[in-house]
Amino acid sequence: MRYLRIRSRHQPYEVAVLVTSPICGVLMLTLDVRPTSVQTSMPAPVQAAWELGLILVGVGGLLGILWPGRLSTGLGLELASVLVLGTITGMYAVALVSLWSQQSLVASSFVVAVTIGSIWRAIQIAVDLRRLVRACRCVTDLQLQGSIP
Amino acid sequence: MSAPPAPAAPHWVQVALSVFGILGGSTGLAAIATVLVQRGKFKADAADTLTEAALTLVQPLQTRITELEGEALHARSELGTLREQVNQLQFVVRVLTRTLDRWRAAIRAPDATLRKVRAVVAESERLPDGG
Repeated sequence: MRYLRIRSRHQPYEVAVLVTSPICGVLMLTLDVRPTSVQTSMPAPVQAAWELGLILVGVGGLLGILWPGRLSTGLGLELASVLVLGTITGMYAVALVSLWSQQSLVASSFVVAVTIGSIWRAIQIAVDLRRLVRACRCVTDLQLQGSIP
Repeated sequence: MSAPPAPAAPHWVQVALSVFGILGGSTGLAAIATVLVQRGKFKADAADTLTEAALTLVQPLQTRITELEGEALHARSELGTLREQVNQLQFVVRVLTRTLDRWRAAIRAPDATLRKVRAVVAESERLPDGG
């Protein structure tokens, strides 16, 4: 049988992006600046949700990574944050591409990379959660068997 | 600074981005909700004590225990069979010893004749298990 393995939750790129996104969101809110691409391609309420989402994603994701309690809750928080982060960066990428200019090539590529990374990490967390469920079932079976005689 | 009005993106981009955002946001909410709802699956006491290192240990141990239990069962059944064989053999030895004693007595008897010895042998052949 395979070894059960939960991946490390301290992934440098992920943590860096999660730290950056709330800073970015708070700065945008306080300074009232938005990228032109976002302004032109999103309705106003969606823009607001987008900024709020950046902040929530960062805070939620870091909270999930540093969650002191149950491992599954931390992973769940991280999963949700990473999924929403993928959405937010995906929206930004679409916005950038919709105003296609050659200057935005590098920026769009990196934003798309963050989107792909987020989805990848979300899949990893989903797999880990399934393994965790299986491991917990094993342990409870063992405890049950041990307590019967 | 608020950016100068740029050429507005096509309407469908706005719609697509809104739908995309709503979908992504609700997927995230659904994910956290699922994990919260299925908390029962992550048995409280088990998951609380399981560190990442412990998780790597549980599964191989489980496998090993299953293996060992199987081996123990096998060994126990083999032991049972062997014990039964020993019992049977002990019984056979007892019967044979008794037969041998009877023949020896018949041979050593002061009035032993070939005919009498033959009669004793024939009798014990007729009752192979009679002890």
